[in-house]
Amino acid sequence: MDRIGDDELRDLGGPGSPPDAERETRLRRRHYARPAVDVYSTDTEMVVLADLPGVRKSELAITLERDELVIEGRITGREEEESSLPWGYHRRFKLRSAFERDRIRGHIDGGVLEVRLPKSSGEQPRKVALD
Amino acid sequence: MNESKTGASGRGALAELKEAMGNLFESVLGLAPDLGIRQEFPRHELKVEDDGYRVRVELPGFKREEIEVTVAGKSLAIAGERRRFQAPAGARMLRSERPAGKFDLNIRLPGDVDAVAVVAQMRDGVLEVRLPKQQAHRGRSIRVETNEESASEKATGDEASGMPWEGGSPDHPSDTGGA
Repeated sequence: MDRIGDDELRDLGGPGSPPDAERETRLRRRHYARPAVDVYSTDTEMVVLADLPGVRKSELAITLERDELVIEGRITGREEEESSLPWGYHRRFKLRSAFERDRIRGHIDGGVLEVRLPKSSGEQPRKVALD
Repeated sequence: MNESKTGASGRGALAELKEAMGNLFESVLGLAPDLGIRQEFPRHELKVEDDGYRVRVELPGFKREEIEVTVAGKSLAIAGERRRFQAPAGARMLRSERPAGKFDLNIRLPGDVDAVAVVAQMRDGVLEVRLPKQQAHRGRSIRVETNEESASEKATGDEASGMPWEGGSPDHPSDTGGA
C-alpha cells in the first residue's frame, strides 16, 4: 500500500487494533459524510480537490492501493460531543490511468484538500511538434 | 442539547431524492449535476449550551473576509460567497461538485443574546460563532449581599449619617440575636 504525503499521516484503525478498526468502520458508515470534490485532469497530472471542513493534517489519510484512491479524514473531538455534523469524511475513487506513486502529494488548508497525482510517462500523450 | 432546525443535516425526502438523482447522473454520465446543491449548503448546526448558543457552519476554502456574520435580535445571519473552482486552461473537468456561489443562512436563535459579546472564529474551514445569552436569560445564580458588605459600602458612602443600629448606642443595642 502506498502512503501519500508525509510520515505524520495517521492510520485510522491502525495495525494491532482489529476491534478498534471494526468499530471505526461501523461508525464511519453512520457518521461519516461523502465529501464534495472537484477533479480535473491535464496531460501530465490529475488533481483532486475535496471539501473536508474541520479536518486537520494530522487526522487525514490518503491511500492508493492498486487503482483505488481513498480519502479519509476525521475531525478531532467531534465524536465525543453530541453533534449532527459529520465526524469525518470518506470517499474512494477508482483510477484508470497509471500514476507515479512516489510523486503523489497531498496538502490540506482551510478544510480543502488538494491531491496531485502525476501521470506516468506512458499515460502522457506523445508530443508532436508542429510548425 | 442539540438542535438543527434550519440545518441541512436534518435530511428530508427531497434531499434524499436529490442525492439519489445525483448518484444516478454520476453513474450514467460520470458527472455530478448541479441539482440545487446550494440549498444544502452550507451544512450547519445550532447547539444550545448553558450560557449561550454555538453555531457551526462548514465553510471549507472560505477566507475570513469572504464571510459576513450579523446578529440582530434573535436572528443570526451568515452570508458569503465562494467562486466556482476554475481548472487551468486545457484541463478536463472530471468532477465538479464543490458548491459555489452565494449563500445566505438565517438562523433563528431560541433566545436573546448579548450581541456585543458574540465571537466568530474560522478554523480548518469551519466557522464557529459563540453567542452568549443575555444575562437576564441565563438563569445564573444571583450574588446575595451580606450585612457586612452593605454596611461597609454605606459607611464609605456617607459616614456622617451614621448607623443608628450600629456602634452600641444605648437606645439601639446592636444585634444581640435575642430569641
